[in-house]
Amino acid sequence: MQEALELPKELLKEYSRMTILGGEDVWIENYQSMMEYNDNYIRFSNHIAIYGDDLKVEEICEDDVLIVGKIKQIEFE
Amino acid sequence: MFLEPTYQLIKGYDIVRVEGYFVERFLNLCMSRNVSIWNVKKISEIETEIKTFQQDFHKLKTIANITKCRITIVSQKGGIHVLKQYQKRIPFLITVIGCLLMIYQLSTRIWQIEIAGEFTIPIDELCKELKEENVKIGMRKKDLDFDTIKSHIYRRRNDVVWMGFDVRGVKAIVSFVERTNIEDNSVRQSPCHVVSNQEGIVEKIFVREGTKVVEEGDFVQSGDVLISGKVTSLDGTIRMVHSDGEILLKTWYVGKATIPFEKDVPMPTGKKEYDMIVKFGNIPIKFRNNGTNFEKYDTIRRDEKLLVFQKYQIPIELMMTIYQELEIETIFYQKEQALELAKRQALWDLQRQRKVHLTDIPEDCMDVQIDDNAVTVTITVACIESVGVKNEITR
Repeated sequence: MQEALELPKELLKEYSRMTILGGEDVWIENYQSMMEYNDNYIRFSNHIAIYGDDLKVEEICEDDVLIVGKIKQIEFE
Repeated sequence: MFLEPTYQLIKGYDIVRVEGYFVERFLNLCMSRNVSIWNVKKISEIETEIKTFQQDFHKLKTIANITKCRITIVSQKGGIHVLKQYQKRIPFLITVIGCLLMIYQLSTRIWQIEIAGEFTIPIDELCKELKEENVKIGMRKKDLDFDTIKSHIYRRRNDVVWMGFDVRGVKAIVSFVERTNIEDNSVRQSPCHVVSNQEGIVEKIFVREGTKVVEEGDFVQSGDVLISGKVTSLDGTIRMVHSDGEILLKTWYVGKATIPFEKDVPMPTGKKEYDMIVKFGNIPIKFRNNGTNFEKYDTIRRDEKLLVFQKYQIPIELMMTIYQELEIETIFYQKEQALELAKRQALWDLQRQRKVHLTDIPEDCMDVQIDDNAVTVTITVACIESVGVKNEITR
């Protein structure tokens, strides 16, 4: 069905979509919720963890979050 | 959202400090309860700063109670807060409103009148005509009745064929187009000679009325009568007529230029000094007006009328005088360079006399003389021109 209608996977399953701009911005769609947050480390409930320096949540809403800072590492647990 | 920071600034926002150990939970609850927050920044282990709209602050209090956090407003910024700040400063608000009203009042009047167009009518006469129609500096824009003014001036002046009004800000631009083919009936009927206004050899002469005085091949000078207004009848009586005809004259023009191999030329050194005067209406305020200490200098005068939105003029004028220091430098030309320059300058000289653009002058029209110090180029061209002006016969 999904293939026949060519529906994107993230709509049917609870997948997250991540967009990285340079080494400064990370845009995560469908992040679910924030588990841990500090200057160097942000962990989300969708098993994504971002490591870096001076991390800041520039924009946040129910589905999307924009993390700004010096991104060093992104981990999928 | 597009232009989100601008929207936030206009709407006004609070910077809130959240203190507690469960900031993540606090943020998640904010999202689930549709509280707009942005710029979340960790200050210390237990302190986080967030930005939020003022109307969402009471929701934040509830969330803080649930998550056992403490919230305090660090600062308030943006539109609503700015307005609140000035709410108690009544004299200031009155001054601002007064200034705005004054600017509005001043901008409803004409503060400059510019007369545009190409015409030979003396500008004083046109100013007088406008003054008669009550078009003057300081008048209200809505009192300008263009159609009436135009019809009055058209009726009074035979030499104005078209008038245009354009009001830009506080500036009124009045354009005039002059009637060029006016021939007064009295002049057309009056007896006259056709006289030459050039020097040369008559190539062709065709007489419509009058008596031919010169023949083809004759040399005439400026002022010589070509067609006479005196006509002798067969019975010997002389009568005066308004002579008319076409005369083609062969004329010569000479363009000459001398370029020395060594030439002293003033060159800018790059050093500049400025004088500045700001004129508010008719009141000048001098910011710097000391002249210059340069020995040799060029003076550039720049008057700028300030425009709003590049179109609307306001009664503030910036008058700037720039003094550019010059130094005399000797330039040495090669023979070929001097020759080329002399040719170009001789051509300019020719164009200045003939008032037309000339190109491709054949080499045989040029006379080149080179001596030890300079190159001299003389260009001679012959033209066939229609000449003749009417000269009224005075009794």
